[in-house]
Amino acid sequence: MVNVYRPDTLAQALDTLSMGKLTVFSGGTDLMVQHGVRAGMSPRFEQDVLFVDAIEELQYIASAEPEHKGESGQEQALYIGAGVVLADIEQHPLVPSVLRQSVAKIAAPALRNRATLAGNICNASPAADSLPALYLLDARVVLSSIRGQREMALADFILAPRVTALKPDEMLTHIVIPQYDLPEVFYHKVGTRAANALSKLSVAGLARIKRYPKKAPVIADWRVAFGAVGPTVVRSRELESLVVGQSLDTLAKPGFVQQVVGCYREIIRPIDDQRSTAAYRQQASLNLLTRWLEGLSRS
Amino acid sequence: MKIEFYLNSHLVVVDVDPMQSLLHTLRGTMSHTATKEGCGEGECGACSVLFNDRLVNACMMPISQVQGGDVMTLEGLRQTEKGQCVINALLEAKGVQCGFCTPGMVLALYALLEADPNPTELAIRTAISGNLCRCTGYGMIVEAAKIAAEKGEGLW
Ligand SMILES: Cc1cc2nc3c(=O)[nH]c(=O)nc-3n(C[C@H](O)[C@H](O)[C@H](O)COP(=O)(O)OP(=O)(O)OC[C@H]3O[C@@H](n4cnc5c(N)ncnc54)[C@H](O)[C@@H]3O)c2cc1C
Ligand code: FES
Ligand code: FES
Repeated sequence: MVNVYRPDTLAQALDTLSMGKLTVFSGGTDLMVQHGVRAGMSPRFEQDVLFVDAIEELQYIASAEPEHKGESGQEQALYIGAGVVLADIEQHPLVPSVLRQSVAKIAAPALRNRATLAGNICNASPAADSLPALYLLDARVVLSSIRGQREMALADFILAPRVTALKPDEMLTHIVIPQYDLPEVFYHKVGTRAANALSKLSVAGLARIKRYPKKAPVIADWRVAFGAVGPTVVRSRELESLVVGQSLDTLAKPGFVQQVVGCYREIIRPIDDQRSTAAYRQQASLNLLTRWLEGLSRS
Repeated sequence: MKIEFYLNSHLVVVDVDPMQSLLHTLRGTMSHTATKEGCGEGECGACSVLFNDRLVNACMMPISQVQGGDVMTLEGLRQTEKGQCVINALLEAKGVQCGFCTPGMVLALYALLEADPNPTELAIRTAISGNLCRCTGYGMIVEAAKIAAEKGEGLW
């Protein structure tokens, strides 16, 4: 039988983590499945377990001035504590719509009442549904240990399927989202059924259109990210720059959309697995990208 | 490990493996068998209970996390007016066949109506989206939610 710890302060949790090999346990919705053996038996954990669900300091959503102003020099950022469950993120008015929509598609209500965003991130599954939205929002993560805190871009935190930059004595304590208010939102998850199905693929998009002067609206910002079509989320700032700065008229030209879609065809290289085939994943992703671009041109 | 919690408003203490699931504790250790075990991995909702007033899957919660908390199962809910309202609505709509999914459904419908006394069809379908029913079909269960909302007016 393993030892378990369930502190109610962060300081105690970090102290415990510094003792050595422990499994950080939030909602447990990934961990219980990974360690389940069979009906009627207790799940088998090899390491001692640190429950972090009782730490109230990690259960908040608030906007504040960021400690490190990113490249964009944002004045306000949204902070989400690692203890916040998906159901609360889905409901919260401060959370950007693209993240709320993505989170609302994860599993089913009872699961979202326990599962956390931090767990979805740290599990680092290629199919994790919060990730495309978080990549688009340029989310950052704060990692803490008794040695102090460090902050990094989410895209640098997730290294490979199931591999993150976490050190053994660290835990994720906060997620930081620079307050981008991009009004045009696109989100589409493709799964076998509406609830409790991991994604075959998903596509998230954000954009801002500058409508003045009225005659020639211009795409001032445009982003797209693809989930479950590679080891980690696919997002390319280089390809996004093909669309940013274009007029809406250009977007309405079929040749332009085809050109952009052609470029993405080169970088979306999914695999076959039990949930879908590579060919289906690639074509459906590109169809959704086309839909996102065409929808914007008509907006 | 000794774990203390409220089960259907009564303080209880169990001495079990700290990683044992709440579901196993209820059924195996405490012989409270209204809560069913289907998949054992979060997919079917047969094990749904309320934990601190929120719908959760008892199969996914180690008993350690229940320490100091408040669990409500069908055994407790059926003693209440609201619980009876949902149960009667399921019977009236013929939303019960084998009954295996029913305890979980009652808890899911109760959680829905507590949060939203006049749910839309979409809200009902979303609320029970994690509860699989193998034999009744969802039409009659959705109907039951509407009956419980209507007949229980003022209750929720
Ligand atoms: C039936 C079912 C359906 C599901 N459907 C979906 C779906 O549609 N989309 C989807 O994306 N996922 C889905 N999942 C997966 C899972 O529910 C999510 O990934 C969830 O967000 C995990 O959160 P958690 O708090 O339960 O994580 P846990 O299981 O507690 O932890 C997951 C991993 O993260 C680590 N961890 C957790 N918190 C921290 C922290 N604060 N610091 C450091 N490490 C940490 C843990 O050690 C573990 O490795 C599903 C799971 C089930 C069982
Ligand atoms: S037994 Fe818990 S969800 Fe199926
Ligand atoms: S009534 Fe049989 S599973 Fe629902």
